[in-house]
Amino acid sequence: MTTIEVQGVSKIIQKQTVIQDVSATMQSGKIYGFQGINGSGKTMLMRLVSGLIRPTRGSIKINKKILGKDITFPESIGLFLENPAFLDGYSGFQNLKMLASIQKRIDNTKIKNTILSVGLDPNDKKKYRKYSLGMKQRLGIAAAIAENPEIVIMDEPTNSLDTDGVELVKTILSEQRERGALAIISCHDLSILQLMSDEILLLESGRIAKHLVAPNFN
Amino acid sequence: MLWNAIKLECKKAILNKLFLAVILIGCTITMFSLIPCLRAFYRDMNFLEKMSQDTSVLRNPMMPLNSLFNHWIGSEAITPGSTDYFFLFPLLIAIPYGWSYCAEQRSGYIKNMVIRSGRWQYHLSKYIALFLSGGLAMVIPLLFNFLTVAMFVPAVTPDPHYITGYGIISSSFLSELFYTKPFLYVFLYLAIDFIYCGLIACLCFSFATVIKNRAVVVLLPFFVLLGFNYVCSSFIYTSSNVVYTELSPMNFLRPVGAYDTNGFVVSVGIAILFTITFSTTVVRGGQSEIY
Repeated sequence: MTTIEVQGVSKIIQKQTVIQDVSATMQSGKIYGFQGINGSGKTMLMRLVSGLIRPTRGSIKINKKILGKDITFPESIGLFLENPAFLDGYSGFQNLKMLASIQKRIDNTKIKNTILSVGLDPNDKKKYRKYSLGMKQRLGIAAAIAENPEIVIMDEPTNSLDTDGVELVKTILSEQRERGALAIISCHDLSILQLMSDEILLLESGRIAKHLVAPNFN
Repeated sequence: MLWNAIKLECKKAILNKLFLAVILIGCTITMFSLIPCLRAFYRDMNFLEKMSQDTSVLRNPMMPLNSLFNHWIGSEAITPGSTDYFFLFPLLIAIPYGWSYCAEQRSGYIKNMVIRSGRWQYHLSKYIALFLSGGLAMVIPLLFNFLTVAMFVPAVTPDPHYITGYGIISSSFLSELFYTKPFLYVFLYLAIDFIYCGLIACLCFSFATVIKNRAVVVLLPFFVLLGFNYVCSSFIYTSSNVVYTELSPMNFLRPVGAYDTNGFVVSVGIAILFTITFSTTVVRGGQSEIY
């Protein structure tokens, strides 16, 4: 059971408040959607929850452990933030294999299956630099879920994807929920988010303006 | 996880095309030292052979001067290979992996790494990989030259009676070792070059924490060393009557030069470079926020 407790979190960058007094509790087995316009603080909140940046005020607890104090990063996290980023000179499989070699939690078969599950060919020798935008996006999603993390964070996972791709993201997120992961996704498009999420946090100017729970999204 | 991250970074740093290209370029440059040195050696040998046929005059063949230890690239400062290599090395050692931190920050790949390995573990593994790639990029072509020369020129132990033929005089750094245990002398010099070039390559990492352009980051160590060399030659070594201590790594990383260095300068240089690079990368990076 994974729990994320965001308690009164604010973030000030160069005298500008980008996140303002945000509090929320998230639990495993659910998909949380962050919605808001550009600059509303979705990505910044994801960075805070993933431990990449630290709150100016407030705290974030992952399973009762304070992020940045008791732990530097969540112990098991899959992250896909903004644009997918991999090494240009390696294939998709090689890229995921290299990343997986750090924690050694999964073997080659699992990596290949994950690549297949996002609609890519694990035996494709094509270098990442030659991937299309959609393929890059799919590989980014694969990297986030490959190691079966307890927390999955995906920022705009449907960007650059066609209709099939959006369906794929929906299926992947459902699978994550079923295996008990806590998933956080962000999207500009509320209708897409409503299809995927159990709860939606509407962000405006760094604050939570609304907290909607399925099925009462309207 | 730290060990796995170090292994991964080293693999990225050493098994890349730029590293291979730099080693090839480095070895090619050293050929411009190898060929003239071998020519000179064979010219001397032919001369000695001719002289030996003339038995009417007793001549000193000065055999200790025909030694591996004064024919390899580190022992001469005359050929284009030697002058070019010891001028361009700050550039050559930065090219293989100096751009990496800058590129990974810009692309966002750093996030993939830090959430798996940890902040300081990532920075430390990057530091170690950069150090190794810089050191190896410098030393492999030198070693290639040394071993190739050794295939043709005998490893005669240098004789201090012919001191003017070696360029290593009594005040030179490690000179005693040169005349007693020359292989150890070469090994120590290569080790010093390895450490210095590893640390100079790590300067790229330090620069990348504030500069986001990878070309600038790769070029900067070269210009910093060149600038320091200019300051030394223009403002410090001002009198032709004084024997100065060599301070510029661009000069003292080659055993022979205009001025001699000493162990203190070499050690202080290492300490300064390590402090600057390690504190601005691993120590600072371990606490940094990643956007």
